[in-house]
Amino acid sequence: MKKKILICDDSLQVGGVFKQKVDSVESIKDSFEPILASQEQLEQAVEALEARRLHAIEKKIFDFPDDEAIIIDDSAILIVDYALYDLEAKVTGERIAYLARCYSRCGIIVALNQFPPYDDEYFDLTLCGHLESYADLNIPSNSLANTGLWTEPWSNFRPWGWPLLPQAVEKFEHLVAELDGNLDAKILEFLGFKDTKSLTLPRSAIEFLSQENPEDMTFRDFVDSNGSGNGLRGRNEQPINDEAVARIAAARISSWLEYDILPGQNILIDAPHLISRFPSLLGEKVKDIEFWDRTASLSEPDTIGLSSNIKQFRFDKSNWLSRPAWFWNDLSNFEEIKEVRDPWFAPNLGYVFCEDISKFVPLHDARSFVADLESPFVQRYVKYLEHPLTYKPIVRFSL
Amino acid sequence: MNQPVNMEQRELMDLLIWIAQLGDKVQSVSAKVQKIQERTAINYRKIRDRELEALLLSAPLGLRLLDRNVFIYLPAIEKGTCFVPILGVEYDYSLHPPEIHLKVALFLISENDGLETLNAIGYRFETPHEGVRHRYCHIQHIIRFDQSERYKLPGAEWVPWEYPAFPVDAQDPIELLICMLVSLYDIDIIKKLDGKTKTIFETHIQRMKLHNLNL
Repeated sequence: MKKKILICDDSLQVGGVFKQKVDSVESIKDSFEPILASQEQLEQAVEALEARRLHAIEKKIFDFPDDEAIIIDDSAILIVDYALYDLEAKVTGERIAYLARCYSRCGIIVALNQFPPYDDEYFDLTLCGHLESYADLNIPSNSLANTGLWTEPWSNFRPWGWPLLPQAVEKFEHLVAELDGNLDAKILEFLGFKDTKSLTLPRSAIEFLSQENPEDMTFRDFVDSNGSGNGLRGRNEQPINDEAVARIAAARISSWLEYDILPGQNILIDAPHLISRFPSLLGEKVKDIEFWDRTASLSEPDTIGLSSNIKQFRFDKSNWLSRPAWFWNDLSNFEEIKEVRDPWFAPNLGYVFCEDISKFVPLHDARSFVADLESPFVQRYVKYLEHPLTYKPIVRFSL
Repeated sequence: MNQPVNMEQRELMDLLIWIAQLGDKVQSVSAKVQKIQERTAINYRKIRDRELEALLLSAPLGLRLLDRNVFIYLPAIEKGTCFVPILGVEYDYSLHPPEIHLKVALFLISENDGLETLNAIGYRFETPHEGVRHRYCHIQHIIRFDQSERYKLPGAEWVPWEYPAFPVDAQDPIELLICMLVSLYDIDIIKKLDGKTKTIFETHIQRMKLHNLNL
């Protein structure tokens, strides 16, 4: 049975355009079925989600009911436009994302056109992502047809920060299963940030978990409406049941890792950034840019050609991130790596990783920018593709 | 369990944490500083104040940051030659008198024929050693943070590191740390003091011959 991609907009015509874009992606046709919700279906589903919310507060429901929100429960991917002016419910796409995340069984949530320049494809030079959003991914609607969002390999524009949506769907369900029976585990310990590792996290990142006691925060407490403020948000809101707690925690904590921890590449590091610092991990293949490009993959590390002796430093909660990652501090202290042993004589092969095309290019073909991240590693590169793609904020090129 | 700390150890901790926070408070740095920090961070991990505080409290009697490959990144100096000071700290309060070794390397980018090279020059600010030489607070050059190849300072091989050993007007680890900060930042360091660190400075500077700092 094909998994459902539910597309939601207040206009059938605009929603139809979004659907056409998804329909145009050949690689997902065998496994996914895009469905456009009618305005009436959407109105009823939102109303049902709001009812679930109220009933959960009143402790009248303890399971996801068979109501009109079932079309959202059944969606592996929920795609929702931000501007929904013609809905009677008077909600934004972000409100639907919140309700769907907290009061439904939906899979991955993709919000469209929430941030300027809205529907036009752009590359965000801050590399910050949108952790404040309850959607798992925020993109302009014109990116829906980009095959790099759905499958590997990719060509041209493909921001490195994007997940692969089909893979994200699988991973999300694994996360929910992983949390079964672990809701009272401490988040940082569970994720492998044990002992002093949690102290290496910047304050700005750790306060997402808790303003007071991040080290002791459990998944359940994080989701609680009196907890972090980043799980259930409304006054006295309650989860429907433990499965709901797991779904909220899985989505929010994996987004935190994805948008707050990984982009700095100083706590966890992914393969292309690691190779940029320690090219010797490619062994004899280091002179061939094709092997550098193989590391820019969301596949498991066994297939991307990295030296196996760094396996021990892998961030082993692999379902929590869209790509393989390693603990940077451990790696930077591992003297079996040539560049760690002898840091000042590493050969500069002149390849740089371009965040906008998720590929390596020679330095002279790239443009550098400064990302807005709490990390020493903020100088990054883009290929800088031509119009109609925009790069924002453009001032980051001149810093 | 954390060991008890005396007043001087507490002051040293407060100053070191304050120094680590100083580096974090700098909101915007020049492209050159950014480049230096980015390159050095690969091999010299910057310690955050939370981690430093936990480390200091866990080992008030003796600590060597280098054992954990962590360093305190001090604010860059952009007057004249632009450089980024990176500090390695080692102290031992089980000795009488207590010893401290503050190894600070100044990293800079030099340009030669359009080619940019990272270089460093380093100094150690040290309390008297046991033995016959350098039995006074002093400063010497360093060519590496420790014996291993990975901590060798780039471009510093030629520097004489045994002598000269310049005497410094300091009597204890705190005063030596103050000397290091004044050496790097001159009177500007005074402007950055907060309530707690200002008190520490005032107490020690009265004994030192740094009269013109005008706290």
